[in-house]
Amino acid sequence: MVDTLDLGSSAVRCESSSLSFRTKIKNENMLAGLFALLVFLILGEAIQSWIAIPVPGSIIGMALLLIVIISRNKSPKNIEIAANKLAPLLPLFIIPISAGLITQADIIQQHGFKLLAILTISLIPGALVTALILKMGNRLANKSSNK
Amino acid sequence: MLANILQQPTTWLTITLGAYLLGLKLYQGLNQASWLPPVLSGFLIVTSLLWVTDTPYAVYEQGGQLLSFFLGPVVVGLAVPLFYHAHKMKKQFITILVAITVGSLTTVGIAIALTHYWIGIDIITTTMASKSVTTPVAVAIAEQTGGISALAAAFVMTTGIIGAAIIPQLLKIFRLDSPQATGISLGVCAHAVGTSRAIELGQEYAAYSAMAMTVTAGLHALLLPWLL
Repeated sequence: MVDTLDLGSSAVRCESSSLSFRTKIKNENMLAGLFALLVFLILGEAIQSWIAIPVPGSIIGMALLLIVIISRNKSPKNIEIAANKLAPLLPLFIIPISAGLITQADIIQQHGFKLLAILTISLIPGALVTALILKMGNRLANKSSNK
Repeated sequence: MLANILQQPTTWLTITLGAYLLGLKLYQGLNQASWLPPVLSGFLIVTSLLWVTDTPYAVYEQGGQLLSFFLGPVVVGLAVPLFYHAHKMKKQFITILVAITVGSLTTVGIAIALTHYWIGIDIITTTMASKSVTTPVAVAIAEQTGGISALAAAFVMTTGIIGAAIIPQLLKIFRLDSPQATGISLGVCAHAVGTSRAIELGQEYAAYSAMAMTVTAGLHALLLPWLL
């Protein structure tokens, strides 16, 4: 659903369509990929506590994996399979944390409307600024390519 | 006996899974309406059950954390789409990167400022900072910066639903709409839900949106903890 494609897995899936056959080997690949993802996660958390930077461990793990992928200029198949299998389940993984909102009823009761207003208002300039910069950037690029 | 069953982690794990499946059915039944993503309906079902049975969240969490565990590997796995997107946008890399950076920091900056002046509770302000990234990353940022992860998830969900509803229309009014601009704005401001809206608009929209939300997530996770 929603959270699936936001991860861009759809785009990735197209490129790895040759992997879609279902075999026993695929499950093993999936587990090997999950194993690798967890190793990167642990490495990320280790680095985080070691040099005490405030970036989340999972993000450091992601950065490490990205560096590996870029240096090979190709993402390891096992990891790609695991990542593409996990991504569509994201909404399920998020439900328990969202349910924690039940412990924050006070905040919602007191400030719910203000928070809703803030979330709505802040979207408008964000979207406009993003679109404006793209428009100006593209115009500049066109000018320089026309010269 | 029922009271006993309601204390079991397995029960709540099963309920969460059932709620998600039900939410998925609803979502598909409603023609993939972006205002009712499975995560929202699943959340509503689970929280109402917790409320009706008067179960403390701590009990629920014992089952729920088995699912939350997977958020870590999912975030690490974001490296894969990020790699493919970076490959595709090479040509306009600088423009797109500047637009995403400035645009996303604008919306977050305004949200933080408004929260600070209107509400003035530091922990809510801190949590507000992670409102513009996809939920697993928002939760990671909230934990890192001392925010409230459940509140972060709620902000992200709300932002996504509102953004998906208003952004395409907003850009049309200002004549700024194009597959690229609308797609990227949806990704930056409304992340996951926005991307599902972008899919409805077309494939080009969706590709830009997915790319923008992944880049925003990576960028904010690296930047925000230093700024807060």
